[in-house]
Amino acid sequence: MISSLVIHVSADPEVAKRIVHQISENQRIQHGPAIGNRVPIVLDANCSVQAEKDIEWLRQLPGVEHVDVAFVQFEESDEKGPRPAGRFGSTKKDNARKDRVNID
Amino acid sequence: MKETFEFEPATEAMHDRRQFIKRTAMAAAVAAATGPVASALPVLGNSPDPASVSGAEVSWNKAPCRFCGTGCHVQVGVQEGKVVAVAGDINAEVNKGLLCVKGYHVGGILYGEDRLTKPLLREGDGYVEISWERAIQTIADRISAAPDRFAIYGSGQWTIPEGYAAQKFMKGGLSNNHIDPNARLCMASAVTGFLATYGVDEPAGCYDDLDECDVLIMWGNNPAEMHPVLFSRVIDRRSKGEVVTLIDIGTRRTRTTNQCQHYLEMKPHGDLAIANGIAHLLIKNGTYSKKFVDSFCNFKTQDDQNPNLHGKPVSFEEYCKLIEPYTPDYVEELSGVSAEKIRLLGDLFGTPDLKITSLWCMGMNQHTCGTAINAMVHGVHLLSGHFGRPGDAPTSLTGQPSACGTVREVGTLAHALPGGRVVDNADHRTQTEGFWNIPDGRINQKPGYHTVKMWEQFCTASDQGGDIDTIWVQVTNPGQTLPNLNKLFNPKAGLKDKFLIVSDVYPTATTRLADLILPSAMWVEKNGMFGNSERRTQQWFKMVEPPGEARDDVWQTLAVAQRLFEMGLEGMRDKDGKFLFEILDDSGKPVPFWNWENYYDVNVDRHLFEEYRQFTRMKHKDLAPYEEYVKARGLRWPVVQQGDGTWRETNLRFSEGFDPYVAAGKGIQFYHSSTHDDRAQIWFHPWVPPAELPDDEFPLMLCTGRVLEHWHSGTMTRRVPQLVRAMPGAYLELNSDDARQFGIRTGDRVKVESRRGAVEMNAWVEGRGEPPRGTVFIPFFDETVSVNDLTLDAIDPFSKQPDYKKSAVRISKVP
Repeated sequence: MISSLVIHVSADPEVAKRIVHQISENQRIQHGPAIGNRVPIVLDANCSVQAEKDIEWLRQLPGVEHVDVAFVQFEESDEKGPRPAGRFGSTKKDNARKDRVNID
Repeated sequence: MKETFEFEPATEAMHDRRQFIKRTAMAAAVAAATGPVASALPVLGNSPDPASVSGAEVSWNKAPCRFCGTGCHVQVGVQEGKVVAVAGDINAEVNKGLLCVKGYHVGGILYGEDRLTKPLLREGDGYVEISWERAIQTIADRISAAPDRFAIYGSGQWTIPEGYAAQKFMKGGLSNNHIDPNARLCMASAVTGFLATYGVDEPAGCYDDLDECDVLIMWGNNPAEMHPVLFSRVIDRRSKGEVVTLIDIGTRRTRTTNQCQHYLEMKPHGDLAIANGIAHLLIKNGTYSKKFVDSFCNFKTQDDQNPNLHGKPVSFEEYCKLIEPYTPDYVEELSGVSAEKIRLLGDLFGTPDLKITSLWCMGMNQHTCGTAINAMVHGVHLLSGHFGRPGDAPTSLTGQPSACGTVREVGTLAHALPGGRVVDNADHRTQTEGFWNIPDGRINQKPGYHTVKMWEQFCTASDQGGDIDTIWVQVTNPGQTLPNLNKLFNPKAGLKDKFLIVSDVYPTATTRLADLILPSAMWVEKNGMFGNSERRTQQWFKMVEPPGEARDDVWQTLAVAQRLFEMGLEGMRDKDGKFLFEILDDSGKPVPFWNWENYYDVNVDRHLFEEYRQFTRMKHKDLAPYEEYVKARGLRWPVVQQGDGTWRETNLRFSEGFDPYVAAGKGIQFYHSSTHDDRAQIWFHPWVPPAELPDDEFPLMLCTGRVLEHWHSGTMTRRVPQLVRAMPGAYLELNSDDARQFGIRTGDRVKVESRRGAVEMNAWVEGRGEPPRGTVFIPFFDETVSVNDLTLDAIDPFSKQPDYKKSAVRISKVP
């Protein structure tokens, strides 16, 4: 799962430099040249769970003010939807649509 | 340390698919980081080789995001009839190429495995698949049997043409005003606040204010989670070294609080006291803007004998006397916010050089004094003169993508007509009848039922006065989102003479009780237009086919209208005897768009929009021709044609130099003033307690709301696996001291009860948000945790909007 992100980093150049260094050490992340206080990022994770963990890791880095998403390529995802609809009467043709229960 | 990625343009030699995607992704990130001046993205199809993420042709087109009222634009990549990628649109002024986590996954909402694909008719305890022909006839038969006992319940997610078609069908065709949207539940009090203050609806300012303000005050608002792209505009400024003071006035700590310099934690309804406290200090300290007030404002208070939006005029001296008791100490007592913080707000508003923007959304709108607090926040800005320049404005946000465009502007409310008109005004009815070419007197002058009343009448047996028999729900989910569901929705199950029609894309809590379910097309499966929170009208084209037999909501309405026309219902004829929605082709022949196979022979959206556009000039909300919106990423009204033929949008209303309708030399002109003197109204309203307070039996105050990952009732976002994993289900968020008192730990199953119902869910002790002691929070996105079984259906007396933020509850651990 490939995502492109923009991280907004501290205006303090030392802090920004440290963040870029930390990002560089993450093998799933590539970064482009900083543009002002924004650093473009490409995240190449093998699944969305990993991607979410990495995005949260970025958010938690000291000096990272904000993380925005610019692009996502999800075509390859083979994950199925969760079918969350809890309440739906059954059809004669589709008994699979019988009332469902709490998914918690 | 690995090498930094070097961005290179795509070339034909680039065969490695993954590498190509990564380069495209980096191009998107670089462009977004660079801002709107960046060159067009390769993914927009402008690169030398637009060939695509999988080697075959991907076509890209623009669309507004399907979710909230921010109105971000996305670029949608389609390959082989399927949406395969989404990118933030770098050319969009709203989001400048960025998206939030929901927008990031918006393409996934089309592909939940349980999409509705066939019309379904209830038979016994289940459903049978039926043809569209039978479905349309069934609806037509229900309507023709009792046209005045039929209602449409729509949505701020209706596209503009969808809402306009439903509006004309009901009010122009059936002489029936029982049409109301779910936006009644989300922004009706903002409307009445604007009307009471300026005499006309919708904000003077826009999102540009976020780029200009020195102080941003969020009144009961959590934009870090609910409008994250807008919030990032402010955070970005600050991280670049700009000084922006952020103030969060709220009832619980949120992700927004974490970014703010000041957090003012208030008791529920404390906002009424705080606004009065600021006004008190402005007057006491002599820091109100005498010049602004003398030139542009009147004073009002509520008329207890005859409550309405015009109120009772008072002099400045009388206003000062009314506001006199609201000293900082008294406000601290009422609101729980320290006198020191009240003085901080008073000092900020009393500093004329600062530019102050106020933001709010549901916290102020879902409030039994919603009209009052909306008017009072406008009043604080007017009294202090913080109005009329970029960055200095009170700006409400909406929660749905077209709450403004479809509900407020098209007027899909029980009392309204398009373009700011109302049914109980004879001139407005005559104008509307003229635009629709229908006979004089066709439009009913009596307002229909507002949302709460409509559902109350539907859920009351006919022999007990329940005079709504059939409701057609379009693009929303009242079975989950109405308040007090055990009164306003669930009783339908036992009323066999009531008939519920639901057009939707997935099974929902509403389809659970539906008698007829119609499968709808969604988002880029159809043409559409939205109007966002900042008066920006947006357009998109259909990009992919809907699944199975799912069809456009506009088509569904027009097909029923045409069936009624065929059946001889007089209301479906215009004055010349022609079909009310007739569209002619280039040769002058009627297009049979009611046949699905002919629906896209013409652009029905364009025809409906051009007809609707005529309505928009009376209130100076002028819209441009349809083709202008095809070219743009939205335009903010009023959009006025210039001498050179181009169309100019307006970013700041009522202010000379920005708003083309302000007369030269006026400076500020409230040209729709309710007092007809170009002045706005500064209102006094007293503090009053919430409609329900905690007591010994129900000792906690429940606030409901949203979370970052899910939108509205979750019917779309809960079909996206990534979003579900990030936020799987609703939870009870509570304070650690309360948790200790009740013996509850994170993950425990708890029962939450109010006087209206009970639900069970898991507890989260001081999780994402931090409610203060005595309060709890539950998000409403999860249909398996029906939090609106608990909520109160008390409404604001003017807007008729319910308060979802203040219900007394008790909690207990489930053994």
